[in-house]
Amino acid sequence: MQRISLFIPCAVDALLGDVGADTVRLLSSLGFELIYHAEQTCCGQPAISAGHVDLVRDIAKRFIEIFEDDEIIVSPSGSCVNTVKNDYPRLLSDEPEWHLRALNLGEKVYEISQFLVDQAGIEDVHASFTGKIAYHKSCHLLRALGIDLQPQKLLSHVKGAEIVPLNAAEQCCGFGGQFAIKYPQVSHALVRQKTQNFLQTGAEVLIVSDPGCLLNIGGYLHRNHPHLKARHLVSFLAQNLEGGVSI
Amino acid sequence: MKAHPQDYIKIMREEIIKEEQASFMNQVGAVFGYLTSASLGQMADQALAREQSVAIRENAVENLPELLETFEKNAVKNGMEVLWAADAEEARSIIKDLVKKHEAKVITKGKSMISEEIDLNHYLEEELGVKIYEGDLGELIVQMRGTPPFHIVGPAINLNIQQIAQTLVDHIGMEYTEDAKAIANYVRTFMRRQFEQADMGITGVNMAVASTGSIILVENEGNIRWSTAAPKVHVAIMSLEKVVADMADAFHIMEMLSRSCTGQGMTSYVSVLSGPRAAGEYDGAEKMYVIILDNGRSKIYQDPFLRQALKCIRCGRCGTACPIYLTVGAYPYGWCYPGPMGTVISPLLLGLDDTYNVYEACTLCGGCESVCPTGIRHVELFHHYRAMKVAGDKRFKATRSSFMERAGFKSWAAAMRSPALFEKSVGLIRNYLHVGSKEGQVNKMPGTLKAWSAYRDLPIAEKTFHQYWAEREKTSVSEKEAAAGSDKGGQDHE
Repeated sequence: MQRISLFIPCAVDALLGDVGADTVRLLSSLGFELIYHAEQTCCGQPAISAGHVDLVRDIAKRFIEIFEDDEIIVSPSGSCVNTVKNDYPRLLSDEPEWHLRALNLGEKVYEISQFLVDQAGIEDVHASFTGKIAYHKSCHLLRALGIDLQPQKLLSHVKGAEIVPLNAAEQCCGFGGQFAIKYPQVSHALVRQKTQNFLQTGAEVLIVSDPGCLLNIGGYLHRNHPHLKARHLVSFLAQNLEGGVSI
Repeated sequence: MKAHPQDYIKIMREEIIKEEQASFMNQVGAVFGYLTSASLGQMADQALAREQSVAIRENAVENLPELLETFEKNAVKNGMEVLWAADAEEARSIIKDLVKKHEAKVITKGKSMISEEIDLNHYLEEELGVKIYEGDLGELIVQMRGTPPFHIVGPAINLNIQQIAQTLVDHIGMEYTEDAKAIANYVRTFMRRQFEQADMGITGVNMAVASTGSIILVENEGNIRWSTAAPKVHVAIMSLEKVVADMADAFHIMEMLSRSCTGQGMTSYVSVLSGPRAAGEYDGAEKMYVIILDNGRSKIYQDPFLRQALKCIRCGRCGTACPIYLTVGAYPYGWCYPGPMGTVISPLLLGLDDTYNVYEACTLCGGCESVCPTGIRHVELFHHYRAMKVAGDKRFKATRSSFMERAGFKSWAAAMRSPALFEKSVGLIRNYLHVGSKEGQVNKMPGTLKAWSAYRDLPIAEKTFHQYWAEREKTSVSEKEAAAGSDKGGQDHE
């Protein structure tokens, strides 16, 4: 079996450790051997989005040095994968050697559903769940990485789960990193809109694929509709594995 | 209109509480999304068609100086007079001179964003006392109300029938009715009288064709046809990026524009104008002027990366794919270009300091980019504007971001380069947040983070992933020692 190097985004490390643990649980249950470079920090996306790109070059180089010897790198975040895959080569375009190293690394970095479905050929992780679920299409997964069907294929094999269509599933939930703090009213209007669409589905769980969406929608639901839940795709799969694989 | 993007926050706060407007605009977004994708889907090869429009606009922008020279040469050969305006002021004064020269008293217009950009109506009315009528129904309504267009294609899209009816009652003497057909007929009759007596028609330009020296205008109401054919003088204003190489390019762009804009394969009216009325012809303007406006665009052209901003064909599709625009509406953008199109062009034309919130109030979701028919890379562009602002790019009126902000990010970056510092920072943040936490959710946060907790909680897991992994490693090692020899696979126990 392939050895997978885990790329755990800083938001997962700091706030959503359970999503990281579920990533481990899910991949282990499928028989993958996992490694984790504990010296990893943040990919630098917050600074790129804020325009402090000069500060990110060193962070990018450090990331490349940590991960470039790995065979395959998997992350439970499309947004952070996008930073490494698409932003790093651009940031390092003036330094040919680093640019090439960034490109080479980018080839090996996958968002988890993309890895499972496209690389490992796994669509059925042997999970079961009784009830209705809806799927929110996280922006960077869908539009920056072109990942649309992979998460839905994984969900479609969950026995007993009924996937109900979510209106405007591809519309942003209003997280946007610092955006949520800088423009709270706009961010609030967007997450409320997303929630209204979710409420209309009648589903009890909203599946998301990016930690940012989970913080935003999850936090909003917890405050306003505590009986409903937003779950990260990997958590939903890992916690509903058949045979109850323990950690 | 006068640009005032500095007022973004103030206007956004006024607009965002209009929940009915936002809910209607979201429906508009969905309908346009459906119409345009269905229309583009009817093309034999949609992906190829998009590749072609991207290539056509790229070619046009890359060869802008040459194409503009060719266009001028051929337009002059066709009998048009071509005038160049460096900025809004020069364009206005050229038009003022033309109005005086031709003694125009009544002017009808075709809806034109460039005319909004140079704030032409107010200027001519104030300076010369001429009467100006916008010919497009929606634009006429917003002209009367004195508000900027809400959408470049549907200027009055945010108004309900009651508001529209009342505006027409107040300004052009209509008897109040909520019958849309009756309203349209009233305005049609009213406008017909203005077209018949107009001394000058002023329009924009959708495309200028270099190889033939023609200008092309698209519309659905016939008002542009009137403004270009009935008055003796036609003045067309174009920003300099509107040029394309030849008719084949122009018609492909026209199709992509119509499909991306209203979902039509072709608009109801297409005017291809290749010169004033010739001897023996029975309609058309006797005198035709084309004003080519720079207004900051040649400066954009100088920068090979930023140049892509000039590819825009003003279809407005990005707006109906933008969650921010659909939520806050057009007014916070503070100029005639709302939505992502404005986020692309306004910072470069007005300066990065004044438009700060226009490009900052964006989640970088990429909705705009995914539907753009000319392949503008919005997300990369907006990243770039933010970086130009941080660095203080003088070319586009940016002063460096504050010392405090830079210092903050510098110390953040230092922590990201050191695993020990990173872990320590994560620990500090978690301790700080835990103050207001229960059931794994923080419900109260201090300082700037109040902006988050005003509306929602923040999930916070019991352990960091680093802690989880360290424990897992420890367990796995002790287990291996305990059960030496047995195959545990990838599973372990907590």
